Amino acid sequence: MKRYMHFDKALIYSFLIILSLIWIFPLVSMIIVIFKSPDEFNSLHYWVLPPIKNILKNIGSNIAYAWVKAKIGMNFINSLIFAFSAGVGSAFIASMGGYALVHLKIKRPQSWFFGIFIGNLFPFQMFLIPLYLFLNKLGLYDTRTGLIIVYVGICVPFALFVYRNYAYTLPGEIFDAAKVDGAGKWKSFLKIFLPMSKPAFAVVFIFQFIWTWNDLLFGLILTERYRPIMTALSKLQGARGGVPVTILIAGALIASIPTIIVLLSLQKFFVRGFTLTAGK
Amino acid sequence: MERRGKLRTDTLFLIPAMVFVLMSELVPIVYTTYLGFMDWDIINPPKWAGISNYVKVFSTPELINALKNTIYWVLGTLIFAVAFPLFIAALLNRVKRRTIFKLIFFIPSTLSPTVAAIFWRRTLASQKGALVSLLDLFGVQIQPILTNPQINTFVMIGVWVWQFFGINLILFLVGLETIPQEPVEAAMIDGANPRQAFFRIILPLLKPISMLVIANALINSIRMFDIPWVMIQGGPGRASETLAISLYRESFLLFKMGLGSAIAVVISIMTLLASYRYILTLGKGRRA
Repeated sequence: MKRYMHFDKALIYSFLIILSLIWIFPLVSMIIVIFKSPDEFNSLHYWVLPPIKNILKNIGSNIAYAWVKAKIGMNFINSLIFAFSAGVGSAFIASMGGYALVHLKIKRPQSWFFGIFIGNLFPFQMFLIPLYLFLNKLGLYDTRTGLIIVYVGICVPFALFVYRNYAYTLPGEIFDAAKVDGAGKWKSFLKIFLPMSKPAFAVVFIFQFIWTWNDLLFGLILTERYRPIMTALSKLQGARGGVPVTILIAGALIASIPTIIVLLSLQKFFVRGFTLTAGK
Repeated sequence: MERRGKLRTDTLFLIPAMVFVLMSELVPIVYTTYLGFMDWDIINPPKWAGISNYVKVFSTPELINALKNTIYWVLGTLIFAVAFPLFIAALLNRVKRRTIFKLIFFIPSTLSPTVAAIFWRRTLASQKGALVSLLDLFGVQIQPILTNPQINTFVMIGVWVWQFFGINLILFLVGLETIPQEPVEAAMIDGANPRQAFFRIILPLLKPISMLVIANALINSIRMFDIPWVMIQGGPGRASETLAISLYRESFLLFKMGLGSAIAVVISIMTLLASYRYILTLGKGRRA
């Protein structure tokens, strides 16, 4: 029995290790790429490293080239603006709604909730064509404002869902007591509800920041001048917009830094967010 | 009178959310549905087209092919990005050194689908690609992978699995850690073998988290755009198009807004059908 268990464990470990190697393979391949200068990438065999003393210099110049000459820096800043606005904007709008649905006297709260949440049930392909037409009509096509409005709008239903679920966990007595002390609804909302709902904010912010940061499709359709980072990257690697491979990969790495930071620093909220949306 | 006024100010709190959702979702849903019945090239006024756009979706060879590819994406995702990580989570639950594996499997989930596609495109490229060059060291020659329409959809599903696997693995691990141990132990004492315990006891207890993972996987695979677009623009030709890429091509490159809208409606109906059981669980609310 014991020997059988040993064999079992060895088998599991070797399987996991083989799988891990497949998982790491493209990451290692990409690290090799940014270690080289564009010339070294062309002249050396793929799996031959350049001289050690060149490596740091190459990484630096690949990143600088991507940021400045390939203009990834501008797209990076665009995406930071979009992702922050979508995260904070949708959270604030949804916090008002979640507070009202649970702690104020709204007629037919379920209908209001579903009327708004229904937006989350449709794939966003359903909104693409009309949004493109509306933004053109309103003169907001190819503006940062237009994209921010769309990103916030797409994020609101999910954000409301999180805030409503969170609002149910706050006892109504707190708000009743505040009312007895003479606080109005706005004051209760700003002074009590908002400070107490930080966990809901963290969940909404992480999910919407990452979603907006990773967006490719809206950026492809709604703008030319203010492309978000993923759209810009996808254009850089085309046959025509081509930059050297080492620059493209450096750009892709820069583009990955913000989501990695957000995920690692707010990791526990991320898993909690998923379980919060899983229902009971 | 006073009560009515009060209700109105309470409703004010919901107005901003409603305005944004009306503008960016509810009105577009109605408008896309309407456009699905029209013929429209953006320049001339739209013309009534009845159900001809829907007939085209299910009779044009390119679009039937996109529908078929989309179904491959959905099935591939369910098998390799839902069932497979559940299996790995069950394995990891039995070994001690799991942190390093968790980390390795989770790294791709911190990348965007666009970045994952760029990495793999370079890794699998036939000119100066990582895989080709590695095999070359061992004297092995391989045919181009991404430009082969016979296999490239499946290869790209693999890329998506690589990217999506980690998050589902973590969710299943959280699920496995939080289920109560007593029923499992009781079943083992009653003589159930590990496999029986897994399918009869653990799997039903995992249902809430599995529902979430499955719904999320279905929604994301039915509307798959980023990976096949960034890797090969749905090519070669239109061979690896998904419905989402067909929609983009028909509406924004060929300016057939009606046909594009009909494809959007088809994608929506597929999504709603696939996720309706999950939606029902959300409908119960959590007032308690």
